[in-house]
Amino acid sequence: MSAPTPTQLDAARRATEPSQAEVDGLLRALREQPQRRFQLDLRIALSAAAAALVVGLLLHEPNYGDAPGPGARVELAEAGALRLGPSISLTGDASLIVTSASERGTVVTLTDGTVQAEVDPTGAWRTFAVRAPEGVTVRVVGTVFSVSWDAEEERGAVAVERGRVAVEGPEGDRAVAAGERWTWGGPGAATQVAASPVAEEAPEVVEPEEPEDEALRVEPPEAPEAAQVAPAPRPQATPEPERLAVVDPMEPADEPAPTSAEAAPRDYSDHLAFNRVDQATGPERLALAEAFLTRYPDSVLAPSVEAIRVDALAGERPEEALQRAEAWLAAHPNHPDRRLLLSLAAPIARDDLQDCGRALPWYRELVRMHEGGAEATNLSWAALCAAELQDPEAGALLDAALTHPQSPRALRPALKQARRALSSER
Amino acid sequence: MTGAIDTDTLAALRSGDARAQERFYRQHAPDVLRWVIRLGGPHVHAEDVAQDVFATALRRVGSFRGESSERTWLFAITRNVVRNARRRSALRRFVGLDVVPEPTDTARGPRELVEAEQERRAVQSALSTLKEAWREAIVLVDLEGYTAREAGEMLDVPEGTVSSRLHHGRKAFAVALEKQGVRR
Repeated sequence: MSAPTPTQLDAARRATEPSQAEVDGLLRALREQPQRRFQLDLRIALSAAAAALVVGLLLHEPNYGDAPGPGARVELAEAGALRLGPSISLTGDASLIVTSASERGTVVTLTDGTVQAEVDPTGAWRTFAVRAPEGVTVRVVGTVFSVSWDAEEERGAVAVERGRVAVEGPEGDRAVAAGERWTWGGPGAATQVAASPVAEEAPEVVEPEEPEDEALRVEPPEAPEAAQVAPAPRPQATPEPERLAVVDPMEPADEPAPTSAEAAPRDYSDHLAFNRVDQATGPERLALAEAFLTRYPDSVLAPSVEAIRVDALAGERPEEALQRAEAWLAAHPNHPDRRLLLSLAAPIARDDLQDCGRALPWYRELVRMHEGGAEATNLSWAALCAAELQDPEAGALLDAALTHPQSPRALRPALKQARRALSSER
Repeated sequence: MTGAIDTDTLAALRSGDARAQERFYRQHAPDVLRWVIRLGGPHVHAEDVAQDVFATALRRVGSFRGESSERTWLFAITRNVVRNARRRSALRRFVGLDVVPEPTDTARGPRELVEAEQERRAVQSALSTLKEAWREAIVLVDLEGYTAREAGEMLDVPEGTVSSRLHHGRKAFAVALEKQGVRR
């Protein structure tokens, strides 16, 4: 068998051709993006000014019926109730902003008051999370709960009427079950706990899969024997915790701390948090990256998140992005993930800041790494920057770039021009 | 192949002109979505990834120098975004959080939709067994219809390298399609 037959190729083309409905769906989603970005900006501003709670809802169904669209401000007391998707109802006396509403998810910002959420666990929804300043995150594991924020007193509370929610906070993670209440902030800022620690919950242990190919290879967990650890019995029965725990890729609270050293499973919470960072867009991406680095500074994923932070900053604040990258590179001279940050620092310096002087050392280092497919491109940029700076090595670098077997075509005219200019000067 | 993006369009996109963005989306959405479906495999949500491609493109349009064609530039972004999406997808499956993307095409009937999805996933699974470089060459030349030279420009490799990748990739793709039950 030497090649697919024409019939197979036709079938492959047809099967992977997007339908008009799929293209239309993408176009609709793209049109919503600017509004979502705007609202995220707004949310950050509100967070700085007043305590803001973020309710994140990921829904299967894009049909929101009469639900307000992105950007809508809702006074819950006046509206009576807010229905989001087929499964979620919000009531109470609160000021809300619907910050996004699409099939990818809905985000609501609560600026003041109390919002009571009722979620149908059998409905078409995935997760429901409330994130508050001061590192407090409330995630739904149950069905009816309320979150309050008193902007004057700067005091918050989570009360659960039915089911259970998971709360992450500076004091650790815990579950708040039906009939319980958990508060934070306020005078003295002493956190009052009337809830069960989440750590009592049984860990979900998952056998790693074979990666699809070398591009997908993921480092195995540090403690493979964790897969053989029998989960501890759950402390209490809950309506739908299993289903929710499995489908929520956003919240790290699904992976509780080990209950004993002997039965310590691999703690995946940083991986789960990484997923949240990696999936976020716009200002939320930057905010989540910074939160990750505060919480998991020693995670193996921290360099990747540092790179995400630098990349997220680069669009708006390239100087700050480059400074962060340079600081990280200075602090980690031998780190195995150094290439990640180098690959960002060099083009930010060259493209965004037009500063070849800062780009050249990073390109030189990248070239020394002999980085497979990107080697010729890095070499070419190193040569162009060296030429611009009239660096003594410019000639040698230009020659090496021009004779490299994978010399990028797009840069060849510039390389040749720089070489000619250098030769004529001499 | 599409020529370089004109300077007026570039300026409008850089300034955040909504109408220019709409034209940009309409012009390229089918291509980007198809690339993502073909390169991304069965475990990535194509629409989400395509959105990320456009978000990245608009974020980076300020540094786009027009040294390559618009389509080549977008394809390069798509490759990177897809690569990240595949890595994330592998990580999610690794920790047991993977959710198989659901069909988003609501225009077709359930049975038709299921059959179309099965066929698509069979082809995507076959493509996913290939090395990344082979997959990209197969997608561009055998599925998208570019010449080896054009594919070389889009992949930033010499034409001969594309031909070599095609030679190896086609053999592996034929075997993979057979395994997935795609009829000869």
